[in-house]
Amino acid sequence: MRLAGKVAIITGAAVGLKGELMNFGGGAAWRFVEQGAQVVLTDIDDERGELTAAQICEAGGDALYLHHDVSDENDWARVVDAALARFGRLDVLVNNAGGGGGGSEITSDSSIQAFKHWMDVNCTGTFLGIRAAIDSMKEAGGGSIINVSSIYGMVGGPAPPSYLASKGAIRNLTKGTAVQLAPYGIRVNSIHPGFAFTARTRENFSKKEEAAVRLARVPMGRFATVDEVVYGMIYLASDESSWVTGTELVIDGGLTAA
Amino acid sequence: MDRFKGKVLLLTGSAAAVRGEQLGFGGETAWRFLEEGGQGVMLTDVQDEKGERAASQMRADGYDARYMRLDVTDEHQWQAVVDRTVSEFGRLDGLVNIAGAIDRGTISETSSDHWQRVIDVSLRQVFLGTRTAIAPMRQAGGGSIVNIASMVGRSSSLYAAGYSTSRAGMVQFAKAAAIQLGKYNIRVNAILPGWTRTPFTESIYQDDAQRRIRDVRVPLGRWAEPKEIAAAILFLLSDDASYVSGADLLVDGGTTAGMADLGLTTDHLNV
Ligand SMILES: NC(=O)c1ccc[n+]([C@@H]2O[C@H](COP(=O)([O-])OP(=O)(O)OC[C@H]3O[C@@H](n4cnc5c(N)ncnc54)[C@H](O)[C@@H]3O)[C@@H](O)[C@H]2O)c1
Ligand SMILES: NC(=O)c1ccc[n+]([C@@H]2O[C@H](COP(=O)([O-])OP(=O)(O)OC[C@H]3O[C@@H](n4cnc5c(N)ncnc54)[C@H](O)[C@@H]3O)[C@@H](O)[C@H]2O)c1
Repeated sequence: MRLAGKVAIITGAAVGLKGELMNFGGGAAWRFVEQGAQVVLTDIDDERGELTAAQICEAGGDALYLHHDVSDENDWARVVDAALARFGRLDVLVNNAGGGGGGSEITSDSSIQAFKHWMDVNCTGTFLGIRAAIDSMKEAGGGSIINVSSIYGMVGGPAPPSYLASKGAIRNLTKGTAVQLAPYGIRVNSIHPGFAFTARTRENFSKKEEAAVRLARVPMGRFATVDEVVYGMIYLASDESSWVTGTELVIDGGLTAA
Repeated sequence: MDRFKGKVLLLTGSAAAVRGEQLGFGGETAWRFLEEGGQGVMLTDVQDEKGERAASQMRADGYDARYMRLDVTDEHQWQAVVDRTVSEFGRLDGLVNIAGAIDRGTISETSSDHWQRVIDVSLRQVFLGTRTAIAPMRQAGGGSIVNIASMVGRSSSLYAAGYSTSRAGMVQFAKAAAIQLGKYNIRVNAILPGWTRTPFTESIYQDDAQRRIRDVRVPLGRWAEPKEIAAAILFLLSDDASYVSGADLLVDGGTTAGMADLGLTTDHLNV
């Protein structure tokens, strides 16, 4: 078991119902537990989040769901406190909650509100998460923070400006905080998934044309599964990656190599 | 863990694999590959005596391992090694390009022969190795190729113009090959290690001044152990990384993430 004895907070982890297509956070919760971790799942989608945590516990895992808006400083304090109260320590934080909106093309009337909202969730949310985890990770003698960015944090393309800006920001926020937190044994890395078939993308990626334009650009010729991104998280969460910090792990089937 | 059950691995530059002696990246990787269920390992290098001893030590421990001489710049030797790997072990699933040669001196001091040698060890290696491995990997239904470049393939370094240029080439070649070979389910990636104590760096490590210049640049405050690089190699070889291709994975303790030595007065830098 690669995460034995570790306690992890995974944000955006509501969608993990057994037998159904999951999202990265929900899928990670299951696999982390399978590898021996105790997991705190958080999200704003409380109904599915509670259900996912309950199913993990039913299957013999140790999991807790908490309502958590990652753009809210007070929510972070509450979540970290609750994690410590329940499990006694914090070793891993996966800043996975996120998304984008407001149209995939910049125009003279692109929504300012959408831009600010997703900057708040993706970028400020990641900052708040790192900030909230520092003290308890120092206490644990170190830790691993995994920030879920995107290939749109590495390259441009038809994505909302809020998404491009916030995912790019996550990449260098990761590098800077990695350098600053290394003295405490806290590692910080980013993951950059390419096109993955998740609960959120299913509808869109199931359309023949939407799939075809994307897959034409992917050397491996298929979408990623949830697990294929989750195993990258497990590598970065585990002690296997004890010398990996400030790096960007691209999981995109070769997409951005071209 | 049984991540490599039934799989066969070929490594270049992997003679430093004798347990009880200093291990290189290849040695750490080969042992763990076998311990995690690997069916067989082909060690290769230009240091025959050490390589033979390593392979027989692995066999004595009950594993299937062979050593063969392979100068990675030699096309014919590549073909012979890959042929023999397939005939001995029945298949080829993984190739790790580990051989390396370095120039230490200014550009003015570097002879064109030496420059060429450094470039060839890096770049003929990845070209010839990949080209030769394609057929058996297609036969196996896919494969994973890992090029061990260096963090100086992204940033550069004083006194190693040829080395860092050639290492950047290994990264770029991995991307090019990933694009072409994705359709065969052959994944190609590069790892960019930072300073690690191995036979390759032992003389620098032993030199206090040289070591300290480097120590302060590593945010994690120490050099890597070769097993930490091996863990990254094994991740990329395994099915855990089944959608990772064309990636360049830094494993450098944060060294190239930023300028840790600027303005940081934290005590760990002085220990
Ligand atoms: N699916 C892909 O192809 C893909 C590719 C690259 C990156 N990503 C990134 O991966 C992460 C997970 O995405 P996913 O595809 O699994 O889909 P997802 O949209 O289902 O996951 C995001 C989760 O975050 C939650 N969330 C939204 N706003 C929140 C807030 N303010 N506070 C807390 N939680 C909030 C959502 O309820 C949802 O459960 C996201 O950061 C996404 O940008 C996904
Ligand atoms: N140790 C580090 O700090 C470090 C950091 C970044 C990159 N690297 C790279 O990692 C690789 C492995 O190095 P290591 O640290 O494990 O040390 P190592 O000395 O054990 O491995 C390098 C091996 O390459 C072999 N070699 C040299 N020329 C060859 C040729 N023409 N054909 C075949 N083999 C040849 C050497 O005999 C040696 O055994 C090297 O390419 C090195 O450049 C090392």
